[in-house]
Amino acid sequence: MNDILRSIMEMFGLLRMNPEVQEVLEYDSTPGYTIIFFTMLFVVVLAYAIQYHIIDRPSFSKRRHLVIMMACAAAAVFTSAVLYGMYQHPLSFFEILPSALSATIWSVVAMFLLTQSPIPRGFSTNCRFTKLI
Amino acid sequence: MKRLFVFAIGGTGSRVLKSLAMLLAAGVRTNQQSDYEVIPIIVDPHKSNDDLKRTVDLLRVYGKIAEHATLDGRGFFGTKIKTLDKITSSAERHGSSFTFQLQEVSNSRFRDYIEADLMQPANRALTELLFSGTTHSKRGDKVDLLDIEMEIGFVGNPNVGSVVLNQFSESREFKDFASNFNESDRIFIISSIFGGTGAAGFPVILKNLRDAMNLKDVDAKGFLQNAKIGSLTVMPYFNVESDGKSAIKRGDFISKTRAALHYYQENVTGNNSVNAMYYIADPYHGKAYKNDPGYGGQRNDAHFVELASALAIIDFMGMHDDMLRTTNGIAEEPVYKEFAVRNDKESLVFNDLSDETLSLIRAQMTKMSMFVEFMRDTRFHETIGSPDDWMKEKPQITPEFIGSTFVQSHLQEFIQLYLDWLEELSRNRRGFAPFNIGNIENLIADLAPKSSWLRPFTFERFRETLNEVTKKPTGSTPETKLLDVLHQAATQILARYYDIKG
Repeated sequence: MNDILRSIMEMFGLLRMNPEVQEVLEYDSTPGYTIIFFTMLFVVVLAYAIQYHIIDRPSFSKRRHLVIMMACAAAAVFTSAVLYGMYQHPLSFFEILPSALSATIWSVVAMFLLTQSPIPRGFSTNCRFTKLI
Repeated sequence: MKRLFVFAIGGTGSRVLKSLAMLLAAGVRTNQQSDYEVIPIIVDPHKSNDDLKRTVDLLRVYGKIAEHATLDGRGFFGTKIKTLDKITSSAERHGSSFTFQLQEVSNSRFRDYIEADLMQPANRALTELLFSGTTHSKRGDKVDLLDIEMEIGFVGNPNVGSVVLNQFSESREFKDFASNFNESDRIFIISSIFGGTGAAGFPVILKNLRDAMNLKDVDAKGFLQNAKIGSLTVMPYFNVESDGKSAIKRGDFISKTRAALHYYQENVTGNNSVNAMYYIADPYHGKAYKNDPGYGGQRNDAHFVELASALAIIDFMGMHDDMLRTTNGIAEEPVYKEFAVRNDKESLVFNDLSDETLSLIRAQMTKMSMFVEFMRDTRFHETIGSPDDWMKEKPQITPEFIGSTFVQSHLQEFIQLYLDWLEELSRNRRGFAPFNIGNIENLIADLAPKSSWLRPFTFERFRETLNEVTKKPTGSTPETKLLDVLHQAATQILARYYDIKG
């Protein structure tokens, strides 16, 4: 699974990772890409749940509020990826930056896909029509 | 569908009818009540009476809105109000109006109407004897009763009114009504007893109905004779300014009431002509009305007694058929009812009403007031451009719909009439001020909503509840949806934040 997730994090070859970074992230079978990916997924789901099911208010249900939540989720994903690379692995900020950016982009994509679908958005009371497009 | 024909006689009749329309708009009804169509027939020669005009305006706008109401008659505007012409076949139609057209009255003196000058001397002498009193003309001069100008009604002279209103059974409206009357239909007659038009009209109409077998050109004579008839007799309930040049005097109210009741004792209740008779009065000497026999338009503020009177009609609609049996024009088990409040105060709120009245009107009137306050709240209008989910759910409430005739003309007109009515009720004495008008977050005057610092009761709760109720399918058109979801949301808010069920 780590190989698949690595491919995703490298944007299917679009983003070429430094082989040394790759090696460090997967050192001694550490599933570095898996951890970054699932952290991204967890943050996205949490951000969605906060807006659509926990806050769930008419005054926080507009598109601009979704954009704010996406930005917050993206920032959280970026920060966690950077912290993970710098403190769990001997990587510098610039070495982990491509992976962190990739995770950030995927978080935006994941949140977009999650909120575009009528399910589970439809279970919300006050945000069931809140989507980007 | 069963129909209730409501004869509203005179100025009081119109004002009670207005209160009835407001209560029906709010969805007030008894639990046992079948679905009725209400057909109001206003009998008042004073066509320029402002109270009459306002009532007709209200009934017209009610009809427009009610075309879109659903919820099986249990929501806002659930009871249909129609004009008489709407129930007649197209060939018989002759104009659409809630008012009964009295012929040859508007610009004539009573003397001319009965052609007193053409009578034989003996008959003329008898007529002058029977109508020998004096009254005041519109200029304030004293004139003979025979010279009364009838364009503003009979101004406290029921003996004149009873002659003029005898044309009732010959009128086209009465024949339309009589020909379309069915066995399951009911009749209710509203009249005041201390004036002229109402006191004269009630016995005349009742007599014509119970003696229907003698009528010509009427199809449903048997049904009419044994019709289930309820009536409301409004006794003095307001004060008027004293004016030596006016025909209306507060001092006459009681003596006229006594005289009329004495007549009723023999000819109305005494012979069991009505199945249900409701009496109402208010001895409270509150704010005096302007002494206007009618020339100034006669525009009186709405009064709590009129609202309570309208409840008599709701009560009558809820009565079981077995209680209203009639044989050969005689009610088998007539009932007589009165109305009372819990506390005798200058200005009443909900908790001053009896439990029965409270359960009948509090929830429904509060829902309607919430609806009205919501519709005119700036925060609602701010959400139209960036709509909430309840508006986006199909059928959508779009800015175009909010700008439509239904909302901008019909609903807004009704909202204004409703607010005027509440305002008049609250400023009158005795007053009825159950709501904090303009404060949707603390609407009921004597009951605060449940609110906490964590979850304060704000306008946000209305938006949330509307979003909640629209998760289930709503009406098929934006008009129906607007009425339905606001009714459902108001019901939930009352149950959740005020502990009021209904």
